[in-house]
Amino acid sequence: MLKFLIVDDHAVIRYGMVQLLLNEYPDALIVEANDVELAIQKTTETEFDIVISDLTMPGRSGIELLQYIKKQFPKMPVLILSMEPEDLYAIRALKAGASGYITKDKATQELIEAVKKILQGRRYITASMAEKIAGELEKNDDDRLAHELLSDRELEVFKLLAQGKTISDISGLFNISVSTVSTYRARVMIKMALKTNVELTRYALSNNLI
Amino acid sequence: MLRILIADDHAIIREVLVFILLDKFPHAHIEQVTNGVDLVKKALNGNWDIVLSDVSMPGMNGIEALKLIKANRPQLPVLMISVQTEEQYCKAAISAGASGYLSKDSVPLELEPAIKAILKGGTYTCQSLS
Repeated sequence: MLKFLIVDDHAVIRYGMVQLLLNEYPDALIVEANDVELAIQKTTETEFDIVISDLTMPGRSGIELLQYIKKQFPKMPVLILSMEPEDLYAIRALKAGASGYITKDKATQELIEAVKKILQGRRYITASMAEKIAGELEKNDDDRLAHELLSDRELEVFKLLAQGKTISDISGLFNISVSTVSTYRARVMIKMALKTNVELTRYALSNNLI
Repeated sequence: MLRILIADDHAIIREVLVFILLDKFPHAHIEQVTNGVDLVKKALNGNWDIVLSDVSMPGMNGIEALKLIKANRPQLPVLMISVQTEEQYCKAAISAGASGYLSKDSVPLELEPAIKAILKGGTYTCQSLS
């Protein structure tokens, strides 16, 4: 019996994923978690054949879940399913150990194909992702865009600031202190050579990051 | 035969809506659009019993589409569906003429009762907002 864990803070998305999986694997055990903490608990209770996780959730992110699973259960594959465009996060997710990355808009067409490949022990990479990865291999730091130099968490903070969220908002979203968020903001500003949140927003808009 | 028009820019949400609708209303005729402009065109040119629309869509959003639909087809009920759960968004949708407002997360449990209430001539807001 195949065992799946679906991690997403939106019940309607989990519902959709469950229906798609049950349609293909009617005898599967499918467990749901609405945040990373619950997902971590579930991974200690059951050895899943595949974990399907959103990236952006309140509290800890999908990347943190991915890093945890890769450390504790290296053989447990993780498929990332995200609203975020492939351009921004796919390579980061794959570098962190994800077995595949699908955007939610393509989930209905690609989820089952991705699951089948991953269950065969392979990675699910679209042609466009493969091209980006090839491009990444040729780059050095001088070739990278400013935001590509940010860490995963710095990138998340950057995007939220660019969308107009305050430091308090971000602190609440990630359950981290205001001073920690301020530190991330400071690092983002230094790495990207920006001075104000307005410049940050302008950069994000001109690079189609928000 | 119930005729339902769905509007959402995310394929997975439309898929969930269709899945639930066909389960609860097996003989329904369902069509989908992905943006506000197409929603208005189809709503005004078709014969529908109810419209289900996302609030946030690129270009013309759901509220703008709702206003145009209600201006031209006041009798056509529109149920708004949104990730926003704050009461202010619900009130704004109802003020603009929506017959109901559901948060996306309440769709699996509340879509059927919402549609039934609206088709009987009533209004519906999801339980978490009441």
